[in-house]
Amino acid sequence: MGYGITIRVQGDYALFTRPEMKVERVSYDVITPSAARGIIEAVYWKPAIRWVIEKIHVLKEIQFTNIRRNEVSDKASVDNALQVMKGANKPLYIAATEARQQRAAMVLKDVDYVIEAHFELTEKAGPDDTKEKHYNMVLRRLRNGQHFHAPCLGTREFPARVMLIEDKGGIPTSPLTGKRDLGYMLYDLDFSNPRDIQPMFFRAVMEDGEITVPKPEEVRR
Amino acid sequence: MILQALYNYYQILLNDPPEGVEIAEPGYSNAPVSYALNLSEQGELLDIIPLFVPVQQGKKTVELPKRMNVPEQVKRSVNIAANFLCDNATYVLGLTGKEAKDPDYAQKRFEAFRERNVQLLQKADSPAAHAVIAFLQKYNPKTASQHSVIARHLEGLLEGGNLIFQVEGKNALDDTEIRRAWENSRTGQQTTEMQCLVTGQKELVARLHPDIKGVPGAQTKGASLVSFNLDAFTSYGKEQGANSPISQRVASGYGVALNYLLSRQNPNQPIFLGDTAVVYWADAPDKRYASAFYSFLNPEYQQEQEEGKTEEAHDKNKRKRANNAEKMLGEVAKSVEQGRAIDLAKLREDLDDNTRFYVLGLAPNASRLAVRFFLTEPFGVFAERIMQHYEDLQIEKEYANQPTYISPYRILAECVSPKVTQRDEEVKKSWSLLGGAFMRSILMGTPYPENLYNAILNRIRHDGEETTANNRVRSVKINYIRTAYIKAHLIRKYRRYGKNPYQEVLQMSLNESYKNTPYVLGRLFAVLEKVQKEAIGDTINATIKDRYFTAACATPASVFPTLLRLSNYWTSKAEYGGASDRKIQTLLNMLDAAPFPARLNLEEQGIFVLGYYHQKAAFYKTNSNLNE
Repeated sequence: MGYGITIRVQGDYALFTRPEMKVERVSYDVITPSAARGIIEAVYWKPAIRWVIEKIHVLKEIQFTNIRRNEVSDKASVDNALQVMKGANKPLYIAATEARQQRAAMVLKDVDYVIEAHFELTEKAGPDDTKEKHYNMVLRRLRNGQHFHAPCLGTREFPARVMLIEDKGGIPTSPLTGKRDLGYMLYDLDFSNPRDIQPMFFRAVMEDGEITVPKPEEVRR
Repeated sequence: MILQALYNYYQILLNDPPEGVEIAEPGYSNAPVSYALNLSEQGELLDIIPLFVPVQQGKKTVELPKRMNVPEQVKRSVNIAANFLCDNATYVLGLTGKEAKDPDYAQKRFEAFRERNVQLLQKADSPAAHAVIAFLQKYNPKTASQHSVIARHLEGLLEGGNLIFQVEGKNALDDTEIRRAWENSRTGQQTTEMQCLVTGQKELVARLHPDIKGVPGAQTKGASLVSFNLDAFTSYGKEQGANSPISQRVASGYGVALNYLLSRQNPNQPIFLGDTAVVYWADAPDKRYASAFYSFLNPEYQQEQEEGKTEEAHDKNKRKRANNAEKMLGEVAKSVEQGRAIDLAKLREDLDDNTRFYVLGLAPNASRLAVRFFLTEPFGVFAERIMQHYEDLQIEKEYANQPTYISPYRILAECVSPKVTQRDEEVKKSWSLLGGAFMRSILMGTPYPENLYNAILNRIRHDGEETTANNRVRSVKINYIRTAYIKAHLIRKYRRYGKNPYQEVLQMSLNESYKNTPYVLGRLFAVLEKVQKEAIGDTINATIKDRYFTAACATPASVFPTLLRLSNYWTSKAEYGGASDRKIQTLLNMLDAAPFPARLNLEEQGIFVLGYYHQKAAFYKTNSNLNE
């Protein structure tokens, strides 16, 4: 597995929405493994690799704040889009002024995480896809601050500052001490059956600001 | 986290139900029931029995429907959906008082009720089930009003309360066969199995979540904490509850627990801050944690009770309790002041500081509930933080009868103009967000929201003094609560930096040796106001406070020269003008070379207000000392 990376992710606000409270949004206490994966994938991802989160370090006290935001009530409809593609004369947009709704959200404030992750090659990897190649590509991109789309902390309006920690010894110590049970938390979605995508949950336990994320095999059932 | 904590609490309630409260088991819910229809075994309607119970509400006793455990009720909006064995008169008897557009309005609902109930009851083989089936099949809503028993209670039935069935005086819902039929029918419901995000087990997932009643401003039929009623809320093509897999067991359990916490049955009433309803519970069967918490946050409520009504005998008990609460609070506060750890044993016997305590703030948003905040800490930590809050607020009182502990609600109310009609509404509206933030800062021990400080200063700028009906001036502009808040705000703001630039003034009372410019200017203003009063008398139409305070506070350089010039006239006219003149001189000497800054920032304005308040309180003190 030798090709793990360690990144530090910071931001003023973050919103890792709990599925049970995603309407009037309430955030999880810490970044979820799937959100961490999303940040890394924003920097570097290819069909040939799959990122796996190993560990999350929480470097700041968990603080919440309330905000209200304008959201919309509708999603772009797939059916609609298909019909328009076939030549139907229909409007293909969501009018934000008509579908606007104000919703309250309980978001995290002032977050700072260190994420340890590694990647695995998938079945889509061709003969040219060596681990070394992808490893060096992600390192280069992280050092240069490149990304495919802006990495964000849960939702798009909360951008993340991402930097590479070259030396694992350089992980700052967390001010959090003791053991804290964070309850069941979203691990990721299981896309193995594209017709029936299932969420997976794991019991998150934070010890001295560190959360060890189980391997995908342990979570999937 | 929230649902998990609530579900745990439900299990606590189930194992150890509070006195006089029935906690519903899974599949059942607690609902108010107005009447019971008493049937014979042949299904004849013998009698209708009212089930109202007298409840003490304030000073009055009102008759309220009895709360009973009934089969979990369906969610209704405009659709027709019948409940099992407990529903309103439109469904059970096909009676409606409303002039509906649809002539078959009631008939359709009765038929839906009959169909569902007969279908379910056929699976129960007991006399009670047969009797209800017989009744439903024989009964005809069209001729109902001619039925002598129904006619007698018609008015009450039409009020819309729930009805249940009795057979020969026995509640049909207590029948074991009927219960079994109901419980079996539930497990057979069409839902998918998924991993529950509370328990982690693979279980049947709740499609719709229970209604939560009792949050003011939400729909009266109840609002959902968990719901997915629009497209934008769903992901991966999942519908309703499948978006957040929560097992039926947990969904019904947390609903019962939360409804209990919000209901009148809960001795520890929710606290209402603006539009936020705050519920709180301990992870232990002991109710005293929650009651102690309530006394902490509502000290004034206790005090008011104490002052009110002494003539009535039954109030005595209340007063005793209020006294105790006040005393407890005082003792705890003292122990904090002396730097000792809180001795909660003193508060009420043996409460464990390490017990997990939860505080949940809920706000309504149409048919949904939004979580304003959710805090969880050991009980002792909360207690200490709340006492810290009260300690920060300590400042000299204007009048001896003012409360020692200022409740959070009072502070929020200060941010709304006193002239507004329907003040409570206004408080709710304007502080819907701030209420949550303020409460959280109290419970987390963090600085107060900056907006609240701005709002208070804003009120000080705009409000005038108010004269009440009996011609007494009530201080509105700069009063006890506002100054206390300013002081506490500045203390807490700098607490985490270790060193507070205004340390010397953030005290109970006047600090005569402190040379901070805004502080001295505030004091100077108080002295000038006093001299003016002494010179002209109490009957000034507009005092310098009315006319100049705002400007003096924000831009001293533009006002103080004028005021000092005027003060020469006042000192020469007033009886003891010389003394005041000396006082003005001393204060001016405390100022630096450039005495009047062009403008003060918001923090300095707060210090100015404190200087003014402290100086005024000091006048009052010397006066009262002289009188003694």
